[in-house]
Amino acid sequence: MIKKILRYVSYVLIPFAVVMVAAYQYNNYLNKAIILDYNSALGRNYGVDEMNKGVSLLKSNANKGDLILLGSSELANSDYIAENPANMFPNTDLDSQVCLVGRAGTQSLLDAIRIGAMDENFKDKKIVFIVSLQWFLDEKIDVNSFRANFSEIQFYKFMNNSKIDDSIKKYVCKRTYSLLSGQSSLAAPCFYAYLYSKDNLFFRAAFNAFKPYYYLREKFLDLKDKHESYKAVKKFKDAPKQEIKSIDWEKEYKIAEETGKSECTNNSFYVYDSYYTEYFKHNLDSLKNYYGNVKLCESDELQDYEMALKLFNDTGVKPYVIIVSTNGYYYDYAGLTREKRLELYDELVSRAKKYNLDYLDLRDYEYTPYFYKDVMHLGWKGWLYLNEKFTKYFS
Amino acid sequence: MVFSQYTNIFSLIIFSSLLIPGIVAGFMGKRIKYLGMIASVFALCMIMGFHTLQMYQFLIFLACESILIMGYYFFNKRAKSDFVYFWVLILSFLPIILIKSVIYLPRFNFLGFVGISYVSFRVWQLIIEIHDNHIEKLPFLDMLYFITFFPTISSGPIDRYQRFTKDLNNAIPRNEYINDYLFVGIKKILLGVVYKLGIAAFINLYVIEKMPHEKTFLSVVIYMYAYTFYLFFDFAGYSNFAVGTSYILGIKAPENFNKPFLARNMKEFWDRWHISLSKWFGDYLFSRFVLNTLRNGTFKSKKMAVRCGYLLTMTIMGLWHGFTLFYVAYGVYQGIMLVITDFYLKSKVYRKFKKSGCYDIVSRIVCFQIVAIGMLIFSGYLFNV
Amino acid sequence: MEDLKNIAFDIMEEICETDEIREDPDLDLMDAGLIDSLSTINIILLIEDKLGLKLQPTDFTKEDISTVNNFISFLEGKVK
Repeated sequence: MIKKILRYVSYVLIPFAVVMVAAYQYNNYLNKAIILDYNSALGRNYGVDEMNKGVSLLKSNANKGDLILLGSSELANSDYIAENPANMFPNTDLDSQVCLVGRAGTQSLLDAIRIGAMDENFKDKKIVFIVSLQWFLDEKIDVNSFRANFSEIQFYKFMNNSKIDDSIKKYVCKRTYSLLSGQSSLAAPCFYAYLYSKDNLFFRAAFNAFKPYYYLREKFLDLKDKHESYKAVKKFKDAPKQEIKSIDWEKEYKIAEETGKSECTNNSFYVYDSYYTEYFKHNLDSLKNYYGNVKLCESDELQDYEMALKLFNDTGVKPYVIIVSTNGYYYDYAGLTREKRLELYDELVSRAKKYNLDYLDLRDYEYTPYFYKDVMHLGWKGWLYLNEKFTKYFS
Repeated sequence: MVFSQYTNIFSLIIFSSLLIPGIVAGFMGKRIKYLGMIASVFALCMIMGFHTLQMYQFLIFLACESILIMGYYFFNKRAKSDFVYFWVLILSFLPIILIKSVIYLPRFNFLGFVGISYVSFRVWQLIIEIHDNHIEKLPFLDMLYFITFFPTISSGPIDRYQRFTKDLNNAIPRNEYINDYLFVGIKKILLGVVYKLGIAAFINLYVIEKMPHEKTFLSVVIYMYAYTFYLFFDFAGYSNFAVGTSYILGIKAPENFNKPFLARNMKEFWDRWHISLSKWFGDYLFSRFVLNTLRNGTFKSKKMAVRCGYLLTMTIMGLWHGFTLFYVAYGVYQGIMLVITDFYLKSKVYRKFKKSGCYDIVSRIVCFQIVAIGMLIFSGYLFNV
Repeated sequence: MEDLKNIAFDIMEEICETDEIREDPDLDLMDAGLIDSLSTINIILLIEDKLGLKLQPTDFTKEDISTVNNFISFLEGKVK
């Protein structure tokens, strides 16, 4: 019988060893290839999954001195909005390529996991963390958005980062478990988070028993991420280089004003025309006071935000925190008073101060026409203002 | 937290870890029965979720069907009544018919639980066998275990109560357990990995998902063959997991596939494809229909009875998959093909050539085309799904 | 009992459409391709015809009809 067991074992071990060696070689090849062939045009694209849900692209970006913007849906539409950062960098005052990270649904918890998954090289890089008021509208953050944007490989790398405090890891695990629970395709990280978040001995032992499996799984996902990332890199390899722009800020402000004026003609909320027709024209009445009962500061997102800032501080990553305000005209109408909004901004600012992070508070621009293009997203003047701020801050 | 059964390596590992107490018992030559039952409870919680709507529906379903089964069992010991039999059977059909008919409406798509179609087969088999007086003893736990046996709960294979309990109450000696159950089970699980997580996943990723949106003749043909192979490797892979896990728990679950694409005609095909299902339909629907219609004179000719039997059984099989057009079309198609095969097998051409080697190969190729067309219908691809 | 044996052989000969089976009552009929899934229906009908016994498809197992000798033992059990 021992012979039989040895025979079976060799049937499994030998192919396994061969696969491991091949994977190792391929991994090394991909590491070099991704850095060699990377074209910054990839970074200027919004919503690239390999960037948002991967690790290797973002890591290799940090090495290139790019301007990394961690945001959500406001980063989109660089083809419609000329003032989108993707169109205004590199410029003569700040010679950095822009890297758009995050998409609709990305919020503090996901960004914390993402940054936690990065390594030492991420410190002291040009990073901007864009926080939106809309993240705080609901007491519980949106489960489906979290699941759609969740990255398993980032999560494992985050958990394996020794620089992160255990209390933060436990917090993230508790949150991840409650948000992923019930989605059977995400059962593996959900189970990991579940085991880690429990304090007693039995779960500790179970967690350790599964460690070898999760080690292999992480290695597999890592290789898969590199493979997918290289495919994405190849797609953009031959894109033309972005010219360094020479920006006359005064002139640009005039242009932004003109564009905004021409796009927002049919309403008094200063949102662009087709947005108004599609979302407001026919239900203006039902939207009045729609957000009357919202308690911005009671959202789970506030704890996630604080934890993210603490994590940034602990790992030495120091992003420029942008506390984006919102379209004051609309939200006043919708019952979310200026008072409540200011209360939130105060909370966000105080925490940024607490963790020694530079921040930019946009509360004074809530009533500036064309600062926002719709009820919540940065528009012509808003992006232009931020681009100017980024240029000054990072150069 | 919910785990899907057997769809990825992670869930395989989790479910396998539940087998460890059973394996230890097997090594010691002791009965695995009760350890298997405990493992089953944990596994069902993982599949249905704990405190979820699905779990509640599952428990209610089990409670109702158990009352029907045990009630009918005790009744049948005392009195025989076709009237009672008829109504017990009808009542046992109600849950699945109800769920299958409303599940397509968005308001009701939370109804049902994993494996409801397959659990139902085991319930109906018990009721029919009770009526036929084939069941001497029916311990409640054994009955429950049989119906909810976790390795085969999501998609079969469909076992039979008498065969199951014979294996269940066996205390397998150690060497026999290691050689005929444990190693065999592990081999099957590994084969399942290759089939389902390897080949089927590959076909799905590199062929099926890359299909263009417009349907041309070429794309339909490619899809037809790709889907047929995908379905086989996916389902045979799953069945291997189910049977392998079963073996490790000391139950020799029946096989579901026997080189189906080598079949020479559609009748042989159904002896090789989804065997536990076709046997079930054969024993409990087809044969009884033919026998009853011949006995009570509905059909004078055996040929007529058999051919109507084929059409009826296959159409019902199609409906059992779901109350959608393409499933019904699939069932009807299979029924018609079986009728044609019946004519074919009695024909002079067949009798004349059936010994020839060349004819053998040609008939296998032709049969495969018929199978592939059936699978194309089954996939719903033509109906824009 | 001789009577029963003869009936069993008669039934099997009709089902298998050959009298080969009389020569080897232990021949595995399934392996030899002489009976298949439809045969069970025919066997039941013939048993009903010749012995007046009304059976169901699940009253016998594959083993009971796999050889003529098994079939004879099965019938003996049923007739008692």
